[in-house]
Amino acid sequence: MSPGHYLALSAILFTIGALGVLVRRNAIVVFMCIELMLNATNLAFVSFSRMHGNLDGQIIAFFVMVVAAAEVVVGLAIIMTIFRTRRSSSVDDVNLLKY
Amino acid sequence: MIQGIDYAAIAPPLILAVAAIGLLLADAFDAPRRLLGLLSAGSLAAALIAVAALAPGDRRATFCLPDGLRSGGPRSCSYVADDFTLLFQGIVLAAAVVVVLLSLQEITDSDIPAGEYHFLILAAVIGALTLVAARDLVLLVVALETLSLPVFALVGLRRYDGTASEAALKLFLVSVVSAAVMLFGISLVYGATGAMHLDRVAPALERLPADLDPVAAAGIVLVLAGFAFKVAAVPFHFWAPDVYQGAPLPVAAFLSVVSKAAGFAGLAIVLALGFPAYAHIWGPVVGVLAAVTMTLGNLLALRQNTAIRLLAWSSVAQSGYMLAPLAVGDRRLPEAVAATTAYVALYAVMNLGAFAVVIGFNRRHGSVRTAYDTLDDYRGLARSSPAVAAALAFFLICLAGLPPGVMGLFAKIVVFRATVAGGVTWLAVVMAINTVIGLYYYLVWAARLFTAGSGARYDAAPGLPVRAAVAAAATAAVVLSIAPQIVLQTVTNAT
Repeated sequence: MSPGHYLALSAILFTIGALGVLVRRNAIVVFMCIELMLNATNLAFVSFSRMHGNLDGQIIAFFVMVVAAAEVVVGLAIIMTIFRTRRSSSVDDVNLLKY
Repeated sequence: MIQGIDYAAIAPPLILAVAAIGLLLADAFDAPRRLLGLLSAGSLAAALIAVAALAPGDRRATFCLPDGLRSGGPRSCSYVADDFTLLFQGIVLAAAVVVVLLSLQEITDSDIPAGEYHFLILAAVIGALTLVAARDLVLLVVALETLSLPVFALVGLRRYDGTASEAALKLFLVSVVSAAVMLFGISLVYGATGAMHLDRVAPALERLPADLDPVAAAGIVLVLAGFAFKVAAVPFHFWAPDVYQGAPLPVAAFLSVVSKAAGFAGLAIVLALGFPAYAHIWGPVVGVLAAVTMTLGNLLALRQNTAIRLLAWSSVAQSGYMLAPLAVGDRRLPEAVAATTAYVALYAVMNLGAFAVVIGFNRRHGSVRTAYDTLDDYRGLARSSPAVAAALAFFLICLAGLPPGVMGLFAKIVVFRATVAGGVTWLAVVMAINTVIGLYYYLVWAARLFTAGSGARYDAAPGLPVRAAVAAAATAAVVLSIAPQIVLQTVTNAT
């Protein structure tokens, strides 16, 4: 497989993730779709790094993993507090604040 | 090969990092709340002094590529402390000190864990300080996330409050999605250029083969999206009013001043240093974003009747004004960056002042905030506490851009001039119309202060720290209204 195939795969994964964020209603599933988007960018970084023959892309991939892990920690904690007060993790129930 | 690190250049974030760890330790040993607040404000002041000490010196750069890996290219430093960086670090730190002063009372009233609160504030400020000094895309992303992640937790710290956790969830989801989009944009830019340092990306974009042109253009637009979230520009603005309402008010002030200033600095760095070759792509995009942001922000601010949501929509509208000069593209770009910087600096003073008065006023409802202050609650404030009312009226007039609030007027003129000089006349016209719309809601609020009272009295004194914050902001606003050229001279020298 050439790096081009990996790039196509990464674009497809990113699109699936973005669609999931827009369509799904459960906060945890939305969150999983965001992780899919982040990992798609990692795949793109690593493939580009291979194409250019320098390591910058590989390094940023590690940083993205660390950032994603930190986001999981904060994000799941926030979803927990929502679930405790509402008994639901659907984003449709998050409707106290509006115009 | 081991590289030397210029510790003087990274002193401001380093001081805060040490203080943040010290705060966590002190909190583990049950240090009193007052001490934690003192430590937090003190370390921010120390970092501010470090920035002031660095200011007269030369441009310092550290974390550069070693000679062996440079292959004849530019120096490619990741962290640069030049005048632009130091100016923004100064703005961010001064605003953060005021935010900490405003927080002290809120922490007691809302039963927020003090150690965690101050630690998270310091961590977010470290992110902001690094963001304005970052000159490569990796550090930029890491700094942006360091700024964002603690703020999610800060917004949700009132755990018992359903609106706070809801605000945190909204901020979190929008922020993380925009970060993912921005990262995908960075991967496309990297794919097209093969470089991460901005001083290598810029020349690589200039001699890009034609078939890679769409890749780089798509990447640049996606990177813009990430910063559009940070500054609450229009497609990513809808979190702002909900989060400002749900979050503790000092955190809302932090989001609308510190976080936004850092976002604009990052945007200016990326566009002016990294992507000037694609100004024909991002110039019009920024122009349209600015026009839509200011119009929508102003129109929705018109129909708000709670103070905090009005401030939220007005800060969305102000983001539009700050974006406007950048729409000029590569024509007179340094002048445009100077105009944006000047507006950010002046906006920080007047908006923090308005937030400080609103935070002090909110105390009237007692410890638990059940209802949000409507604009009608402000009736008669001029009679019960004339000094506070005068300060609020002055801040609102500055935000509207009317004399005697000369600093607001001056900021608008600087932005207007840069936009017209860059040949984006249509945007200048949109701005002029929007300024008139903005006059209405600021003046309606200011006028209410001087009407007959609604019976509610401003009896709970806001406490010394909040009064000090109001006084500091009011003094700065008056000084800058008398001599607004101070800001313009500093900014022109720095950019």
